[in-house]
Amino acid sequence: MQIEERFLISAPVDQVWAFLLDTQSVADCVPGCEAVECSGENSYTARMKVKVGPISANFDVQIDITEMAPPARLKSVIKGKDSRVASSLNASTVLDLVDLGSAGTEFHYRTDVSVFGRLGKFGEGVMREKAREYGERFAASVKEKLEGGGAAEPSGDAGNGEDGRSVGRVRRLVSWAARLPGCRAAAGKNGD
Amino acid sequence: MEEVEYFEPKSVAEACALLAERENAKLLAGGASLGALLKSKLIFPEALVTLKSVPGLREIERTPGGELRIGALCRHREIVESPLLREHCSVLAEAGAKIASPAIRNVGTIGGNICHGDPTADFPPALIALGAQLEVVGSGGTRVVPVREFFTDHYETVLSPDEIVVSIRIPPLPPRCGAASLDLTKTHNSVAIVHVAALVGVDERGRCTHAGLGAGGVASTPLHISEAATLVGEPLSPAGIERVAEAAMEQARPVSNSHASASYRREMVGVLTRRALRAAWERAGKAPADISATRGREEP
Repeated sequence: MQIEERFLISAPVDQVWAFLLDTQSVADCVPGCEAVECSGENSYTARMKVKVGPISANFDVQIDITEMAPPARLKSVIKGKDSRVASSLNASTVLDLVDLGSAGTEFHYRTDVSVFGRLGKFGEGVMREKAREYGERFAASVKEKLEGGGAAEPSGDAGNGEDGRSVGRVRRLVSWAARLPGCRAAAGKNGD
Repeated sequence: MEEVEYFEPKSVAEACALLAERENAKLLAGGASLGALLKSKLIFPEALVTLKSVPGLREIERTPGGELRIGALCRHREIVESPLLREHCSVLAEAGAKIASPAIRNVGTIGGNICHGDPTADFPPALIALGAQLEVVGSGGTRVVPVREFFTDHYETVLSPDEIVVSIRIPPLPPRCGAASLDLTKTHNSVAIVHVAALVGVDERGRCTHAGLGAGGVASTPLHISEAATLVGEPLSPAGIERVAEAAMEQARPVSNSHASASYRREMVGVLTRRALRAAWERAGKAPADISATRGREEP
């Protein structure tokens, strides 16, 4: 299933890029994504919950950032499974940022998602609809977080406060991310 | 296989209390939909609460004011064979007759069919066109929910975990009405690709007094096509029908699957809307209180 969203964010491209490097903040925008932990250089683990009515799947996923070309392109691959419902999830994403000067930044992502196993068999139309819905919600969350003035604080750490965010706070968050074990590469490339 | 507790309450209140106490309990009506879901091994309830010993959920009645009340545990077969429904609301009997096979119609219930929340289910489009409401009972009390507001997403409704639909109420309908329920299926008893039901009321001067339209299979929930209400006040015209068909196509948010593509579903909801409105209008002219249906079968 392909999900594609393209939208304008009223924020400079450097700020949007810094937001992308804060994996926790990006994960907060993904519906059902939680417990994000850094597991290596450009690698993270997380849990992704997919809910369709009475059916809930909890995928234990590995997220690998496979390419970074700041501040324009970021590629990642997500793989995971939920043994309880004998299903697995694969997604590869390309994120492109276009600097539109005073107009802001164009945020364009394309994701190829596949769900295999019992959940995939259950209803391919339903899963496609869910993928589309999740894509729309992700786009709306990203736009909301960035147009508030900066990336939100990472949840699970300092709560969900969104009080007068600023570029300065974004830079402090990026530095925080850089101090996580094994995650030295991300913030460094931003040049902050 | 994980252990599952099984409860057989003797009243609605007891059933609600059991559901409220257990976070992961499922309500069992006929078992047609829940059985399939359990077999799929995608849900893992810790408890099943059956309604089979709760009295008062299986009656079909008509009040002196003309309202029809259908108990939520009426089997599809009972809906199809009910003399009261055949006389006063046969579109519902016709919708029930489309469901799967006699074996499943002996097991499934109208309440279960609605609460399962499948956007292709056979009863919701007709119930939406009829302006039907659901009587819902929970630990906190009773409330009435219009069917058109009941569904929120695939297999999701506005019900809280401890709430139970106990009856379906069809409001008194105008004396001269016609209804049509049309569905598009691959084979005789397979799941509907697209389903449209229309109800039209007409006065003695040939003007539309009442119009309702429901559509299934073209969104994550059964849809209420509100544009149908704009037909009221005028005789039904090709322009009016076209306007409602366009609105249905606009409102639809179909997705493709192995049965049909999204674009085909969108196209067909327009086609079935036009046909259902015309058929309902023709029927409205026939006889007072004749809400009989045309069951069209279109093999793609």
